[in-house]
Parts: sequence; structure tokens; C-alpha cells
Amino acid sequence: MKASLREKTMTNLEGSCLCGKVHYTADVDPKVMANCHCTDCRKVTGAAYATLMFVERDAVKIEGETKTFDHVSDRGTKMTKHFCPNCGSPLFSTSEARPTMIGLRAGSLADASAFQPKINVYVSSKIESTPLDPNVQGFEKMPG
Amino acid sequence: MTNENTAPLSREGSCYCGAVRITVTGAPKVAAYCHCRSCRTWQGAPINAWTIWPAAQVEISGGEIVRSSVNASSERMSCAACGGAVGNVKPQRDMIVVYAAQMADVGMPFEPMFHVYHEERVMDVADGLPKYRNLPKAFGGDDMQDPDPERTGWRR
Repeated sequence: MKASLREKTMTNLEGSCLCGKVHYTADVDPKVMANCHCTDCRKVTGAAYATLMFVERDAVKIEGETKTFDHVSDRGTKMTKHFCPNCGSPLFSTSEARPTMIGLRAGSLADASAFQPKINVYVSSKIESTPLDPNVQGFEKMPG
Repeated sequence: MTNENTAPLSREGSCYCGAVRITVTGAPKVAAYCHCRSCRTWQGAPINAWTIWPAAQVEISGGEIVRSSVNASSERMSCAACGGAVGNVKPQRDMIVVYAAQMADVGMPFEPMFHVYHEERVMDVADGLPKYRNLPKAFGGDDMQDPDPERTGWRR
């Protein structure tokens, strides 16, 4: 009984890249949901800003092959970007500092309502013309 | 005066890792936002910030490119090494899309003029700019607009 109640509270996430060769599902409550305005995220995506949901890596089932690109964050942490080698869609982000977690790029969600941003990070790097939701807390860089 | 002084300035931007160079000359025709599902899925992000240029004013060079053509109107390009967005060729218009992040590379401000495919949006932007449900007439759309939303934020 307890288990079935718990299942009902879990968020069922599903998404894919643009060509559909990479597909993911996760039954998990995201730990962090954030808009990121950093230059890295904006250059990778080409978007006004990025949207990331951080969940436990073990909870995500990924079908299809991704290609990876390693880089070092402004804090000196090794990070990895994961993208579809066939269509180029950026899908996931992982960090050496938090090896059990994975960031899902929320724009790829089949149902966007599963994402609700709680914070804006790297507001200091945002595009000047980008309007922000006044009800979402903003941080100059990464909090914590 | 020499030609060098009167010729439009060329400026160079790049993909995320720098392997692909994006050189633009002069100024874009339009700067805007796109809310369509294809852009959102390809970028993994809710709102595409783009500029569009005559193809002759944009040169893509350097590293290997990944191309994605889900329909005849778009050929999206990414860097094969880092997955970073490079641009979007519009074969029917002889135009190329350059993203806001690369505008920052070349030192040009991103000054959006309107929103397109607003009917597919996942977030509201209360910025007072025109919100075309699909596209403006000049881009082949029906020119229909939505009213400006009351607030900026993710749609609930």
C-alpha cells in the first residue's frame, strides 16, 4: 500500500532529442529545477537560457547512444555535456562533483508541465534583454 | 576612402568549444524568439533566441557539423565535437539563423523584435513585443497575434 502511494507522488518524466534516436524516461522527483543563464549553457543550446532538472542518475533510463564533451566549470569541476550525435540536441549534463546526479535538459520533455523552475542561476551572465519571472529567486552565479 | 573603410565589418563567433567558426558580416535582418516544439526539443530549452541573416553574410567554417532536417524549412547545425548550437539554414529563403549566444561572441546586442510560434509556447514572456501565433505574414504566416501575457514565467 505504501509503495503504491509513493508511486503516485513520483513525477514521470519522458523526453527525447529532435530526431528521436535518444529517448529517456525517469520515475523520480527532481531535486533541483533551474533556469541557467550562463554563457556555457547559452552557447550549447542556442537558447535565451537553459532549463535543467537534476535527478538521481540511477533513476533515468536512457535508450540510444549519446556523444559526450568534457569541460571544466568556473569552479574547476570537470563536467560532461551529453548530446545526440545524429541531430546534435543537447540532452544531459553531469558533473564530477555530483557523480550520482544527472541534469536533464527540460526543453526535451514530452510534457513541459513536469518542469517548474524554482531558481534562476548565473543571472550575472544573462542576455540583457531576457525578462525574468519575478517570482523565481535569482542568483548571480551558482548558489551553495 | 578605401573599400576597407566602407565595407561592412566582419566579426567572428564560434560554437561552444570553438571548433566551428561563425563569421558574420554587417547586421541581421531580424532578431526574435521562437517557441516551437522543434526548437525547444533541439535546444533542450524553452525559448530560442535567434537572429536571421542573408546566407551570403554568414560563413561557417572549421570543424565537423551535424545537420538535422526534420522538415524542408530548417536544417539545424551543431558542432560534432561539443554538440553546441551553430545555426539553422533556411534553404527556402537563402537565409541563416545565428543564435543570441553567438551575437554576444561578436559583440552585438540581442534586441528581439517579436515572438514566433507563440501558440506552441511553454512559457509566457510579458515583454510587450508582438506575439505571432505562428509567423508574421512576411515570413509566410497568417500574421495572427496573441495578447501580451500578464506575467513572465513558466505556464502552469
